[in-house]
Amino acid sequence: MKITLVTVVPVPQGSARRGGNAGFTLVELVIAMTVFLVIGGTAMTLFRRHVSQFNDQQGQVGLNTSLRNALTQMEVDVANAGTGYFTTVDKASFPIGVTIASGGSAVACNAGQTYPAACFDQLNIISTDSSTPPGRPDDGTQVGCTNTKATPAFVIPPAVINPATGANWTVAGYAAKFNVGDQILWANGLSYNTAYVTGPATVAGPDISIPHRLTSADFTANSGGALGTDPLGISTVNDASLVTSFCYNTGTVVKLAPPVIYGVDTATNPANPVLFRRVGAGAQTPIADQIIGFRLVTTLANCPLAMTDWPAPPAVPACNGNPTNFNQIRTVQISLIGRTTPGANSADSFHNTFDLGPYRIEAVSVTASPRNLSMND
Amino acid sequence: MEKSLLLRKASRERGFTLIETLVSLAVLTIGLMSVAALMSQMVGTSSRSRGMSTAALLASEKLEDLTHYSNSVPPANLAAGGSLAADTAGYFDTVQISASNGISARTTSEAGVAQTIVHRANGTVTVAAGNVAPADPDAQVYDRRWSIQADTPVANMRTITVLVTLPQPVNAPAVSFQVSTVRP
Repeated sequence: MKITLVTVVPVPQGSARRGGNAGFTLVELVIAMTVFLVIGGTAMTLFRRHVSQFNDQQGQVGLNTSLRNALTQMEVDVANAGTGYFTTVDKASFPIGVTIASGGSAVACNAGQTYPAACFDQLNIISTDSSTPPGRPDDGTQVGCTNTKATPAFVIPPAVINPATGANWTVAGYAAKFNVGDQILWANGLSYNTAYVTGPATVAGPDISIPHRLTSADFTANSGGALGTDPLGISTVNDASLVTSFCYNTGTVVKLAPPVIYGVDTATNPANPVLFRRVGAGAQTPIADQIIGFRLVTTLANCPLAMTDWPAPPAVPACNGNPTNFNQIRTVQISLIGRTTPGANSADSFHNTFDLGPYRIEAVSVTASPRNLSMND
Repeated sequence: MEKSLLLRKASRERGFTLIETLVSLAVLTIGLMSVAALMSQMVGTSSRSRGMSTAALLASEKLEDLTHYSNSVPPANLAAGGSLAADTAGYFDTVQISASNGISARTTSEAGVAQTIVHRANGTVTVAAGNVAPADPDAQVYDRRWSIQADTPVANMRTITVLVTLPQPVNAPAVSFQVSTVRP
């Protein structure tokens, strides 16, 4: 019987299908491959979806980080706005540290998924030149009021120690601080005017005499001759009031440091508005890509409601009886809205609910407090 | 002989028993459920960490705001008062940030005057008196309270404490961030 068994179940050959060394049949192989394909396909689909989600997350994390970094940098700059007005006995009563040019926030600014210049404000952070203490205005006669419209302008050097010499500032030493291209600011708490120095300052008796080109308060040509525009929007007085605005020994004349300017560049690449930081006339340093909203809202001393838009300074409604409100700024709320790079994640069919663009939108905001602007409160 | 052969053949080719199948299914289910739980937890952790970072930003911003005032003529903003346990008029505000449509709304409270500033992604900004933040189901609402204690810890010094809470981040426990400082 045992012999029979050995012969009945032999080593498979030919027709024997289920032997120890038999291969798979075609049907088995096809079924196995189909099952493998289905499972493998599902796994691949899951993996691809995961990759897409991962990229999406990465984009959002990048957006969040860049917005936060931009806010932090602006917060630090705003906190230090208006430094240098208080370095001497000649204190400016109302320093100007922040000026704003608004894009106009009353109406929607975007055209579909395009965000033009009107969607963005510009933030100017102003401080004085730390090595030049504030002086006082004069008209060269030690009695009258300065005609800042005329050139040159006269400035009385401050009666304080010059750290470089250890003695009080000399007239010649003070004159040497004012050079071509510098911006100077007259301020008395009610009126402000700025000018650019057009030649080296010289000694004129107890005063220094500064040739200058006055900026125009209303951005139009006036009788002062070759006027420069006022890119920081500081000037508040028009021609008629210039003569009586800054009288002998009252108010302050300061030399401004190059301003720090934050704005959004929509011209270089309209598809990618870039938040930039610029110092004076220097190059723009990109801070954050794909910014679709940059707005500044300010709270003012003794004003009930925050201000959203800054028109030309003379038209600013009076708060606290003051015709200029830039010196009343106490907090600046900076709002930034950014988006992930449009269509960067082609595998993802996501479209946001706001403008239906193929990107995610994130908003962040911070309220920054300029430390130097509230010292007289 | 044939029978015994068939039996042996059948016993070699038998499939899994019901018990084996059920056990393996149970093991697989437990494994899949733990993976799903892990993913859900990851979403929650990421949302919470984002909430914490925003809360820290909001707390430090308020602390900076309360620190920069002069102490020679302290404004009403620096008057002692406020509570971290409950909203006290003049000592709390809210910040509402939308997760998806780019709306950020802030209710500020300076010296007891409340106003709401809303910046939308279409570039419009509105300011209105009172706490009138728009209803937004997508928004995360941060509550911020602060307290100012006079003559603490020593005479002529103030202790300022700011507490920011986010009651409900996505799938995660509430976020709470507290920071304090001492100033003249």
